[in-house]
Amino acid sequence: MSEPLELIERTDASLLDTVDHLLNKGLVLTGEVVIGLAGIDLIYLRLTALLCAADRVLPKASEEGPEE
Amino acid sequence: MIYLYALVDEEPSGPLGAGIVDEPLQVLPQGKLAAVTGETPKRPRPDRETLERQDAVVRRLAGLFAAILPARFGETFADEAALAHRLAPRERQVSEALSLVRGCVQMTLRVFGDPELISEPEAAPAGGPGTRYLAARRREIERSHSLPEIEPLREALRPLLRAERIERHEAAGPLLGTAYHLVLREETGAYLATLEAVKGRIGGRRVAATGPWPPYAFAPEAAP
Repeated sequence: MSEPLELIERTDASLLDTVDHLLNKGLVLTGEVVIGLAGIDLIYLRLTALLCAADRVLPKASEEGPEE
Repeated sequence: MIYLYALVDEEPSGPLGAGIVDEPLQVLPQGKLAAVTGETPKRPRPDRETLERQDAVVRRLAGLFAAILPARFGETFADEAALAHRLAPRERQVSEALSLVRGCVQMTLRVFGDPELISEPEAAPAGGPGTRYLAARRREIERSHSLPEIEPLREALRPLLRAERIERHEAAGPLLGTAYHLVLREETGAYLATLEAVKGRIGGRRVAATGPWPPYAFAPEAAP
């Protein structure tokens, strides 16, 4: 029997990672590569752009020391 | 219809709760495995609210099982027999994946910066054009699953990694790629501390880690 996992609940999740994980990862049994909605591809195409944008807009969020 | 959230191989340690449309969740035994499912009237749309809701459901489920393989968004089946039909041929593969992820979580590491220059092989491979083509294809595939730019980080993190999946992003832009790392649940703190200590060793490139996540990237590859 597994033990409750507290750390999962306080994950520092971002929407972009959520989109990536749910739409681009995970087990596929149905054999359908896409879900059948045109929006999926658009969402994923935007993911990379948004990740890059987030990196530029929030470059110092996790940095405390001198710039690299 | 049946909506699949995850595959497991044990009983939950607590109540399953509700799914993305507030439906009660259940564990359907499937041979040596079990599927965590709900009943939904139709296949859900991949809008932001629903994606976030499913993520919350799966993260809650991850706290109830030592080993869990999340399903991709939108995995629906007409009935239990249809689910069993799809799952049966992959039972061994799924069991092996569950063994791999047991007790583990996923850390997702995005890598930003300039790519390392590719060095061409010094000598062309022997053989005809077909051999050379296949050799070139092999190098391309290997490169698409490698991030030599963060090798110093990987070397430092290696003692903490149970498994690793790497995807290189070929699209133009500062996002070089993503490393998905499988680590023991109790070692996520050590993972982040190690990363913090060595993140300056990658030549001005930057990394951003998120997690812990359920092991989305460690589910078996899609069925052919």
